[in-house]
Amino acid sequence: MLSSVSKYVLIFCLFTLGSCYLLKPKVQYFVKNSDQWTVQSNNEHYISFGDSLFLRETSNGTPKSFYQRFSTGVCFDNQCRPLDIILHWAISGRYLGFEMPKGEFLSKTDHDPFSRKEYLQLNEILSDDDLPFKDIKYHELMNQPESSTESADAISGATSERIKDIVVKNAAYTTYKLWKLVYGESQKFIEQYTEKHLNTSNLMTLLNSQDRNDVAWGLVHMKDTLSFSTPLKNRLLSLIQSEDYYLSYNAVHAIPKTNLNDSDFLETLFSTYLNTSDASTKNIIFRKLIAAPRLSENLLIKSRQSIPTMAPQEISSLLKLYEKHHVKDSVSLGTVRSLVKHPNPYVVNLAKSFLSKQ
Amino acid sequence: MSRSNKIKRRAWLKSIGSFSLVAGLPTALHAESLVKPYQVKESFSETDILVVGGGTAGCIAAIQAGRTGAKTTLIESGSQLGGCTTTGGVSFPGIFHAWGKQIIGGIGWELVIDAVELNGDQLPDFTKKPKSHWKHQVAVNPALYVMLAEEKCLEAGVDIRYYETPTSVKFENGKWLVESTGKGVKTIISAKQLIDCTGNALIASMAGYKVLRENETQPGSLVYSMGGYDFDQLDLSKIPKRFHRALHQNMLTSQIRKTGENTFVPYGYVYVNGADSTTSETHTMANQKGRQNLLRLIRELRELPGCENIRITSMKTETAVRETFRIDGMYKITKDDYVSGRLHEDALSYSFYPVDLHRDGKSIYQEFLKPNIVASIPMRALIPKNSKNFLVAGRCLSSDRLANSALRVQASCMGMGQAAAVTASLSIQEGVTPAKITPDLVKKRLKQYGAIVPS
Repeated sequence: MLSSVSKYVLIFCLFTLGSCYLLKPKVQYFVKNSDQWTVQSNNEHYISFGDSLFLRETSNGTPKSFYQRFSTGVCFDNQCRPLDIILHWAISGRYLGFEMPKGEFLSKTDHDPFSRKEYLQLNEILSDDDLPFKDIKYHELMNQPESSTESADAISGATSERIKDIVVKNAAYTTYKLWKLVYGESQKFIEQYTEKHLNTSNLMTLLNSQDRNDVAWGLVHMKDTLSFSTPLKNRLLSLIQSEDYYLSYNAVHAIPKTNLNDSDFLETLFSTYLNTSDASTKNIIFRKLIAAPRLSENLLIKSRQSIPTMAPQEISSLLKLYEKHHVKDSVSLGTVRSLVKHPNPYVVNLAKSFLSKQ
Repeated sequence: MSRSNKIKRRAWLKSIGSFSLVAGLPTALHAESLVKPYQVKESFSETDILVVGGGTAGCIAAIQAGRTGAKTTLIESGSQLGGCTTTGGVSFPGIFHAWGKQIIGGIGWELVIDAVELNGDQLPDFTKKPKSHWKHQVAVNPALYVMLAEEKCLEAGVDIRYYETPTSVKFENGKWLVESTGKGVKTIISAKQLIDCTGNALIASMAGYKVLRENETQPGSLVYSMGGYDFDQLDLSKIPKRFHRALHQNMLTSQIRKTGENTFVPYGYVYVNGADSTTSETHTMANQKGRQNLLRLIRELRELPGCENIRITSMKTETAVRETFRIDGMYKITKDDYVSGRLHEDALSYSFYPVDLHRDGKSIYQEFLKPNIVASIPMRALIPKNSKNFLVAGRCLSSDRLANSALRVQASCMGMGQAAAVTASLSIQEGVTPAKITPDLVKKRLKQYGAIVPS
């Protein structure tokens, strides 16, 4: 009888433990506003690089994201603890999140497992690519004596002031190790791979991303050789005219040389030049106009019409543009001649100097 | 013509050539002549706006003055423009952006972006809040900055007078008479408006206006860079912590190019206690002390493991100075004004930096501005009390010490330079002294010239 009860108790315990294991949610955290589809496994293909880094692709071959499984250790105080984790990146190399194999979890120096709050904090830390970890060495994570070299190997146990706000409490080494993995060689490889294989389709994926870091990455890595399709041209223009001055500045930078032949595009660019209040974007647009092979008649008309409302420094830029493009038509020269009567002697001198070179 | 005739003719031509050479040689060898003893060249010139000091604020002031159409003269005691940005080696001006927005623009930013573009660098993302305030400073190639600043001055018609310094400043019949002495020249310059951009309020003091100075000033910095070691390979646990900062040279985002190739950095600096650039004597002392300190550091570093081959790869010719004299102005900006972001009615420019007092060369007192706080610079802080037709721009503006420790930085000085020049130009146009100019008039004009005006 007793043995029968024990048997039932044993079965119950095993069932409970099994249920706990099966029902226990898998540890996985992803960055806010990430394109969830990038990390979901639906109808996708994989390309492997070595035995642990993979590129996920859609069935039609569009790259989605990268992931890598790390089975490594976090070592301190002469002890190493295993770390089994999968890290995810966008194709731009941006950190997307992490997950752990079923049953795995992260723990702190006192062996307590991470709480949900701590996982969320870790996820936030890992999503920040600009932490001082990149300049900190492993042994600097804990306080060291100020000036003596003799006891530099001794670790006080207290987290260094420099990093205490950017690590999960009692998990400085784990936080540091994971951050270094996120922003280490794999990320470099991903960026290089994407840059090498960047085509108009991949680029459009990046430029249409909900995350502005992906958009900025796409702009910075855009190549002159890419086919400048109408959707790409339109997307670039919308970014140039956006309120986000950093994206706007980089979008102008990204305009391929080949597209400087497009007179409609240049005219829109010139209108943006006249209307934008961002000095950096204005400056770069001016450089693009200078680099264009020719200026259309419409653009010249618009430029002449704008002169009366232009500030002296803008007139200076415009005259440089005329000089570069050898603008010598009688109407334009007439407009410049009228500047000789400008109330500002500086503008008068600019006009005279321009005319003397004709 | 026969062949023998040809040879004869050739020989004859050759002999003529030889004769000419011989005949010319004695003249060439004895071309020198005794020169009369040099007489210092004295001259007189008239200008609308005289800017003294072609540094961070001064070159911007001069360009702006020229662009308003004013006849402009710029006196610079050194050989190039840019001051701390170039000669001092603090070639990472800032801060132009705060809380995701640009707060200082105009000519200063125009120069910075031109230098960035011409060097193939890229701007940091200013919309992101930086972990350290200085990460929003923008690295510029100092050589390019020097040339661009000069080009813009010349385009604006500025008469640049290098290697000169004023030796007397008088106000007579509504005009300034400034005696400027340089290498072999002495010039009397008559100016309608005078802008002191020396950073040391030297001209304000010479003009008889009150200036202030702390008993102990912040140290200066001699900027250098080092090579011959690999920081990543050093075992820092075997190197005393006091050397870590020197070994870990700084790097800014805009200095990291797409190619991975670095431009002019990393860089480091040694402190120079009591550095003062006001006079030739004090500046000489600051430079000597800086070089001595750096020499000592290099000798010490070479004793450290992994640093045996350390060498200096560049050193600036001058110690950059943080603090000397300030004017006693119509309004003194206080630290409370600064950290509370008080918006003055006559504010012409913004300023954004932590209160940043390098106290004794070993520690820095820093107080960061709270979110969305940006300080502003009123016109009255640029005008000495009881002055006429006189303005200052740069770190010598009227402010208490802690406010000054934030106001002194380059972008703020550039903003002041542009504001002072527009004020001076309008003063001429309106026929009144700067203190009598309506600030709204100045603000409107500054906006036309691309400056960002507090509102």
